Amino acid sequence: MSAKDPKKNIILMVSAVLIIAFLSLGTLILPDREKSDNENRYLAQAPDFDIGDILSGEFEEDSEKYLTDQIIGREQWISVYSNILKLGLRKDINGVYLLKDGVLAERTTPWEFDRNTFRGNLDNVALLRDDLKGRIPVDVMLVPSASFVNRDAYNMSTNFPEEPCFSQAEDALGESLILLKDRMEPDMYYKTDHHWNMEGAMNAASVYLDRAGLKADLPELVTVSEDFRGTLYSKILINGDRTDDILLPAGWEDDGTKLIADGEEFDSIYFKDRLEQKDQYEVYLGGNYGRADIVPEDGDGKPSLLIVKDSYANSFVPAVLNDFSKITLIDPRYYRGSVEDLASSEGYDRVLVLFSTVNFSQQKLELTKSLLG
Amino acid sequence: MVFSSSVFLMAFLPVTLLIYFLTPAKFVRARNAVLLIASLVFYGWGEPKYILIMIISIISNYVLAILIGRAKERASMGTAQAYLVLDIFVNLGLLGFFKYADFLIDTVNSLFGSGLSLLGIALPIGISFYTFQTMSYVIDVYRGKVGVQKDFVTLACYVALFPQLIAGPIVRYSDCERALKARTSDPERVTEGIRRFVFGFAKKILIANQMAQVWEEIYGMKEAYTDISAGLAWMGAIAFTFQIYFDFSGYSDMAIGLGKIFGFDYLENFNYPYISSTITEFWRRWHMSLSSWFRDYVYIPLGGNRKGLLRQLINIAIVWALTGLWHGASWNFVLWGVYYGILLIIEKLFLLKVLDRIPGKLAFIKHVYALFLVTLGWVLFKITDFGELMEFVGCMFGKGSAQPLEFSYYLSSYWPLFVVAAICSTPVVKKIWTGILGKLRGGLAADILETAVLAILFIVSVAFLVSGSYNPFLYFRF
Repeated sequence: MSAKDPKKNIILMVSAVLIIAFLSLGTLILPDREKSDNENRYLAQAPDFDIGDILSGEFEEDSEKYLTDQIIGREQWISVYSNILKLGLRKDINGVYLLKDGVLAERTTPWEFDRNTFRGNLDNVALLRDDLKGRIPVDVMLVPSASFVNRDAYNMSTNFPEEPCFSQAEDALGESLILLKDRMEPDMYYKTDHHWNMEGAMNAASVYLDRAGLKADLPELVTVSEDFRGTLYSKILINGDRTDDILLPAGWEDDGTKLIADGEEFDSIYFKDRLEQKDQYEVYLGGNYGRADIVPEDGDGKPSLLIVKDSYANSFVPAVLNDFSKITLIDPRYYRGSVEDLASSEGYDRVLVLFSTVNFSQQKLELTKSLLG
Repeated sequence: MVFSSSVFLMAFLPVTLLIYFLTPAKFVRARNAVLLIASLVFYGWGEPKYILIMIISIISNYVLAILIGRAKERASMGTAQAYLVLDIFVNLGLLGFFKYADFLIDTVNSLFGSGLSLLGIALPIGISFYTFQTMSYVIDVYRGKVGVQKDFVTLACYVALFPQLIAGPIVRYSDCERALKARTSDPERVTEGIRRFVFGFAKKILIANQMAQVWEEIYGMKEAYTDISAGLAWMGAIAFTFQIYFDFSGYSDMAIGLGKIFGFDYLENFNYPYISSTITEFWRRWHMSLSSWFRDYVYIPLGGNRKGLLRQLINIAIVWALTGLWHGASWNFVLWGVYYGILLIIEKLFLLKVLDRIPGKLAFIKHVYALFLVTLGWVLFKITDFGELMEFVGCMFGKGSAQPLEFSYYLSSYWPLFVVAAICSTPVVKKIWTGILGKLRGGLAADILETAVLAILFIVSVAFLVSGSYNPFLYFRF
């Protein structure tokens, strides 16, 4: 097949035309999808033909996004991609470690793990603790990532950017830090999602209640779903037969807990309908809110707790529910007020800062100032 | 627009092919016009304003070539020469203004501490390529190697032809003068074109983009930890060495393949550069359309090797400083060019003779020598900031100590990719493939096998294209 001696191949020519036609006509004919559940986002739609947009280059950019998002068989393509890389012995794909037996773990690279943000957040948490000193005890729990916890179990010969950060956190926070680094086990995380599972949350809850001097009153658990495929699965779309169980406290269907989430009131902190959707982790609290207040049925006489948190706390709440009269969750991504003012003015008995180390390194937390104008 | 985009594959290419082949082959000018319009859409996609600069370039070269032709008819060589100088001035002026003005201002500022403000001009895509193409046309008209092209659409079609427009190869007018007048897309050419396109597409997407990821991650690691182990630094450098080859030669393959489908036979641009055993050989195999351009339009006019050794060495130095500068408006590219200039001069002076004496059994030493220098060269090429460059080179030579774990992780995760890339850098795959097809005596079985292999390669590449957001073309800056 040198250039000097080309030979025609009619089958090749016909196939080329068919494949290109399949891609372009197939994409054209197939109705556009609005949303991708697996990616948890809206897909790009056909851009409007507008001279201004064409001249600015926006139209061109949007059409590329549109065609890539709406290409016929989009998820199959991604699955082919992941499977080929897996065949090629790749150990991580799209930010997901492929461990043994189809177990997945989130990968965080040194450049995604922002050590300056991590450092700054430690300082801000220390500031909050010092400001509340003598009035309200502040504890901090940083949840190690699943890949860090799995490092020995899977003989991962790589460094983890969070590793040096635990001692940094100990230095900055001293007694306030509840170190989870050596207390988490590989099976305390979902195999297909980046969160800890109910077992992990229960484990952390017992560590926390112990520290708080409360008698752990952990709930019995029941399995409510066996077909959860989480965010990590969605990123690579392979190992489709590997699923996770979702566990909830026994009697969850009529627990009588009140939830007021960003002003809206609910009769339960469990959202059964979310078990029918892609992201079943939302069964806990139904997602994230700027502020959520949770009042259990028989909490009289128990202390109140303010948790500054990311989504890891959503499954932590059921584990500590029996020990408090009121739990307020503040998600700094959406809450603009000062956590310090809130804790003082509403008189909480305890404050807990609960984040995954990875999130803690990626978003700046402002705890002692209000971001409202 | 780039070849490895959804818009190109799913919209631009099918529509262009459809209109082109619906236009009867005997109306070559109409086909040229179709290609010209398609090329302008291709070029303007994303940044339409730069079409204007390209059209200005085409018009001025079109007019000046006609004027040179007329002056030559009147046998007035002085006038022809004046027009040629004007043409070169216009071309280099456009290139200089859009590509080098800010670089010059920046350099003046840092030399004299002056505070001249930068113009902030964005580089028009492909200007380095089409400027060299148009110059080859006008210079060859002056030299009488090609006729004057009086049809504007045909000349514009030559300059703007989308397959080679933005990343080469640099196609000389003399090489496609005839095809612009009459050409056929016979089934042999189309078949060969599809082959070349699919191979190029796969090289770019399956190897270059993956290698890019390795390089980016390792470089990111260096930024995060300030130093990395020598093993990791070398792995990064080798990844970039593979990336740039598979990226650029993949692009050339796609360009040559598309050219074939439209009936043009472009010259090869790469000939397995990484099997070279000397730097001199490397540059005979790497980006051949650029090296031969500099040879024919700079080195030889300067006197080449005909005016004594000293003059030859000076000529080599000039050509390589310019080659470096052509690749980008930054001092590291000059450094990279000078690096090769010096290596080539050293080889010319004595090293080639020494290397020649190495017995065949030890030939691998020569390959290690050449690849070592080429890899080092790519590091100079890649890292534009001098301080960071020195730090990275320092890590390659053992300055850094940290993170040995990362090296074993990357090695265990990426070794198959490196093995595939290394094998595909040699003619081995092609030999085996031709052997298999030869065994089948080119019958139906061979056709089916070839179709199956190419279809799988293409489909897997599309899967990677759709999945990876990671898809930058390297040769865009030039």
